Amino acid sequence: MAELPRSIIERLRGTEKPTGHLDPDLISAFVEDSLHPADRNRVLGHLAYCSHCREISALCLAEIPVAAPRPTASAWYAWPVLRWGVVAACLLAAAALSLRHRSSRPLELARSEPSALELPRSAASPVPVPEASSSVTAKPAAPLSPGHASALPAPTVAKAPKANSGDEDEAVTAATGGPTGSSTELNEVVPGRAKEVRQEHAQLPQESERASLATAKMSSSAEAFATAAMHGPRWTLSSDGTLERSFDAGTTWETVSLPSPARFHVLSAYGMFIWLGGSSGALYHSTDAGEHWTRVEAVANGQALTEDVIGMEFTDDDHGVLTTATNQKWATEDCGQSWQKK
Amino acid sequence: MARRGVQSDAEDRALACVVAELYEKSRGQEFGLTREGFAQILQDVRKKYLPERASQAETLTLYSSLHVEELALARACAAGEERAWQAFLTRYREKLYEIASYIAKESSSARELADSIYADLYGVRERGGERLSKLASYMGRGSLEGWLRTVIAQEYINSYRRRRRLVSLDEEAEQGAQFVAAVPPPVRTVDPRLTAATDEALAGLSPEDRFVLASYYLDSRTLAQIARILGVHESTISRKLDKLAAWLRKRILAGLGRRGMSRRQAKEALEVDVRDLEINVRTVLQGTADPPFFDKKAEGPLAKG
Repeated sequence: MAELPRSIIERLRGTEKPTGHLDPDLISAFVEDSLHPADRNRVLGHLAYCSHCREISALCLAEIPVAAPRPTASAWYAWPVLRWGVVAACLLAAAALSLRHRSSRPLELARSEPSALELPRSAASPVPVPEASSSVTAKPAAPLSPGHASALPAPTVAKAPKANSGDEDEAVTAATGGPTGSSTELNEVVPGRAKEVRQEHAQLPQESERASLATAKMSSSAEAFATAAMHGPRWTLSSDGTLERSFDAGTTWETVSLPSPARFHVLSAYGMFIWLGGSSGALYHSTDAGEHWTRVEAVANGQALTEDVIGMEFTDDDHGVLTTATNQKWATEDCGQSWQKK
Repeated sequence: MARRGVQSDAEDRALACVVAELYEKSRGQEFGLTREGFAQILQDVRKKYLPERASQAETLTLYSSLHVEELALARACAAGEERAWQAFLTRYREKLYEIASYIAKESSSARELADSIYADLYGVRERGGERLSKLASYMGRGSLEGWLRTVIAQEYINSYRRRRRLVSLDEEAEQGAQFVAAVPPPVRTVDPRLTAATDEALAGLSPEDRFVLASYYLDSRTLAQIARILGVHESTISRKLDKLAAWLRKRILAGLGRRGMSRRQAKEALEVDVRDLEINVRTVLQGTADPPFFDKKAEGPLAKG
């Protein structure tokens, strides 16, 4: 850890200038991470200068339980040996197929368009309430960039939960690779750091990408499942905004808990990547099928996104457009590092 | 004008709809809270946290983020509803003592702290015939449990500070403590250019960056604690601190350069603190005195500090 010269520390202390103190509501909401980004910044602005409120925040924090690691699933794919055994078997099969195919015809790449979910608002209600959705549309996935498993079957997303309608949740599919563990951690909360986290956590080896190209044409259900397992889980959002995933093509589902009180309305996923949008500008990104999450703060022209995200369309992990409850469009071309309002 | 009136009516209806939904969600009726009373509570929250001319969307966003069930419970308790108070005791009484135990560490202080908070929550004091309950100030931004935790922490810190100021001198004298006149600290002059450059650099920090620095260097919080507060990984805080230290150094050196210092002077001004150069003259003189005749072999380096 780099040491800071004493002169800087002294000035840091000397420039503390609290103007009053935060009320307990704001401190507790801050510690529980349930404030809007704009309010959170204001609270941070106060805490940066007030040791009294920092001390209270720290005392409160001690009591909040850390999100417990998720219990490992009891299904067979949770056993590391079997999981890696499947991967190894697929790699061998892929290698054999690619040798055979090289002598015949070129591989065809299955190209698909990314999925998108639009949550149409009901005309009668301009209010950004998640229950106002009436239907869900899913678009076919866009062509994937070469860096990803381009032979993926069309990953789709969907899910705007409609709390009072009783509509069934629609399953969402996606991509490759089983995660190595089932615990979910929040990794970073830094604007624009999503790409860096992706580089740290993306685990698609080149061999598995070639394997996915070769196995795209497999017809047996077991091989298709192995392909699907390699390409990531299926996702869904329940009616109360809870995120769920399935590694067995929808047979069983498990809840993915994020240490965030936000209610999620929309997701967009393909491969190992998933974007999640929800209330009050809550935006999360994972590059490893939901094992680790990055909270992304969308800021455009100095203004943070604070409205409910009700629509999301990502053509790949870098390029996407969000739709808010007031029909604003927020676009990114660099995996959330920077945003433009349209 | 007519169009604006129509829009305003539509907005009011939408707002009323949302308030009605939130009232249902809050189960306020079970605690004797009327819909009008609930609407008034939401108005109070709005008045506290939003400007006068806040838009409908901002109001609705605020309302949707509230913990309405806990808000209704707390306010019903503050209003003296017995059913609400029973529900509160069932859910939070033990929690109150657990939180106090965790914060105060020592069991008798914890009990004293919890009892004092309990009384404030119930409202043993009155003003103008009305019971003054601390629960009336809960606004629902965070959970009620989190709010209780904050209130207890605040009370603990305030009472700890009060106790420190009220130490009896007679008691201390009996215990043998001797009070010496305070020695005024030596006047140290720091180059005003360094102060100005440092203040300029610190002013350029974002609130989060300054918070991280203050928590680590002023409050001596651990990386893990800071990471938990901000909801990030510990390694993120570690990297951030390294980056901030380097950034501050660079900015301050640039600032000193603009103020007429050479690069070498600026580095020396930043890295060398006069307090680190204090030398105890008496010790130095004693250290450099010739050792006794029979102890010449014991000569060593100059003592410092």
